[in-house]
Amino acid sequence: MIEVTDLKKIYLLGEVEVAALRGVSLSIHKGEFVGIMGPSGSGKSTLLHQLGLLDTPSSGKILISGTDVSRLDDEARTRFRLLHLGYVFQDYALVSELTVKENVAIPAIMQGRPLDECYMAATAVLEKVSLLKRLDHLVYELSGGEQQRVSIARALVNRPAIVFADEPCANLDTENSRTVLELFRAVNRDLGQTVVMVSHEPWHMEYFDRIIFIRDGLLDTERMEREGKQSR
Amino acid sequence: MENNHGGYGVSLYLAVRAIRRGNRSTLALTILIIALVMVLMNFLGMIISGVVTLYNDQMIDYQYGHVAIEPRDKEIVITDADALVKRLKQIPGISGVSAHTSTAVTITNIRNGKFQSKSLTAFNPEDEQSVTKYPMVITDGDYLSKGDTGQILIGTLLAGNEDESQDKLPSLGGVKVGDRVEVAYSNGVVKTYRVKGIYESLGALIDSSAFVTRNEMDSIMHSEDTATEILVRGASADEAPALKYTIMSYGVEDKVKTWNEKGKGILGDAISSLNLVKNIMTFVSLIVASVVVFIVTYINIINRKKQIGILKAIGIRKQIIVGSYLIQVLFQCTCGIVTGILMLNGIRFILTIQKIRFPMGNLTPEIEYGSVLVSIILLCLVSLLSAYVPARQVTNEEILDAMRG
Repeated sequence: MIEVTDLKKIYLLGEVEVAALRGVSLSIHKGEFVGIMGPSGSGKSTLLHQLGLLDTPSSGKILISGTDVSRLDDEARTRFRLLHLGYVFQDYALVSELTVKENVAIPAIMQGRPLDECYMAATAVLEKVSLLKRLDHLVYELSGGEQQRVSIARALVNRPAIVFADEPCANLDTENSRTVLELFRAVNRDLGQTVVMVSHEPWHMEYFDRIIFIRDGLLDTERMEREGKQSR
Repeated sequence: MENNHGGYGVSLYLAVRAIRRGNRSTLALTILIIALVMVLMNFLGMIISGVVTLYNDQMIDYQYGHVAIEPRDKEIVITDADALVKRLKQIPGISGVSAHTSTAVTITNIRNGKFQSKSLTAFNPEDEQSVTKYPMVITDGDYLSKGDTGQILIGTLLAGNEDESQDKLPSLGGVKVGDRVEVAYSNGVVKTYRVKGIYESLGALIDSSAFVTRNEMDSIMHSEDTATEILVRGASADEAPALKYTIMSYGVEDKVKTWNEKGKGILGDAISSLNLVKNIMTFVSLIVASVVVFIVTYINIINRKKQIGILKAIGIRKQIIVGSYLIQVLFQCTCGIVTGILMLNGIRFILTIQKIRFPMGNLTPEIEYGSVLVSIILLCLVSLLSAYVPARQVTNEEILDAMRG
């Protein structure tokens, strides 16, 4: 499903080059629930951004469902994101001027589907995340946990092949975090969607099928072996 | 999972919600500024149009009619004027013809000895009322009758006031109906006239004139069957050029001029200068509108930079996002333009009640809808451009940079 070969990402901070990814190669299979973990600044979010087409790699190749997405232009990347990927952000990243239902429906509307159908799809997903009573609320009227569930619903509304989540529980308490992780687990198990999640919480490990450890911009193979959940 | 990719309907969807749920005060302020720019762009034009209309009406109604016939080159008078008047009256499309004979005179108020040198004009009162509006602006006394001799019609500014400080132009110092004035003609004849009527057109030049009947003038100046000018009234001012050529086609060999040809030299330069000022004001107003829309949109977009990043991240194309901002600006522009037009109408209404006094009379401002249309197009173009630049700039940023805000 996802094939990454020698992926590098170098940032320029003034005149200094900082290598966030220094040659990462990995595979993620269809239907897996994969966790990306590592210490702060290890490059796990950078890796997720590259996989989710939110950023362009400095070099290397990313194949998603057979498409070399690292070669796509901006327009094609946007289209690819819309059609094949869902994204859940740490800070929810909802549009403040839209209601809960509208926020969830927007990716579906962007696909050119009739508005009623989009709202029905949004309502159905929101029912799954237990937010039926909040459909017409503006997002700032919701708690953090609720906002994150809206964000998850938005990521799922187009039934994308892969859902990326960048520390979705970082701003949530344990109870809400558990709810969110259960949701991802259910999505992965019931709908067969591939889920790739960045996390730094050790207790999240129990939810993942497999964990990719990152350290200093490289795969931490030693730790992966030690944890007994090696990816290759 | 191929799709038909939602188009600019999504722009509209986002724009409508941003307008409905966005900052009302900012929206109201932007609309107000665009409305004021609209007023600025059109106010002077409205006054200029009013001046032009007023001036044109004065020329037609009191000075030239629609077409004026003058003596041919090197001639002082039109000869065989009575026959020409008769011929003109038979031409289709002509509703009135009046021959004028003017001569230089000195008019003296016998009561106080004040005098003024003026051009005294003679006309046939019956013919005149089918061409000009003098009979309708008599403020005191009566209009002249065909057989009147020894009677004179005087403009209100020439008649003047006993208190000189109230005069706007040199006058006879307060002549009233029934008073006697002495008229000294260029041929040496001096005759006393009774003031039969006083008229007021509100035009400064017109109201400082005086009139007698043609019979009276002929008896003094022996000007029978001649005229210094023949005024012709047609169906409308716009048809004056056609009327001119109709008259010429009937073999009239004297000079035939439309009211516009007669009068354009006097106010033409002033109108050109005012139009220049108007164009400068329009240009400055457009820059103001452009800067305001740019700043408002820029601040708006910078504040929503993160949201733009989010929208891009979930797969919404740049063009759609830019489109949503353009629709918002177009909405602001439309509201501003409508408000501006309402304000212009309000100003016109107020200035119609509280009249602006000009030397030609009371000015009624006129909204030139042609110019308003040009303003609307310019304002929309400038606003759209001013919104497009920052919107494009921010949507071109990398998603992660935009999402950091």
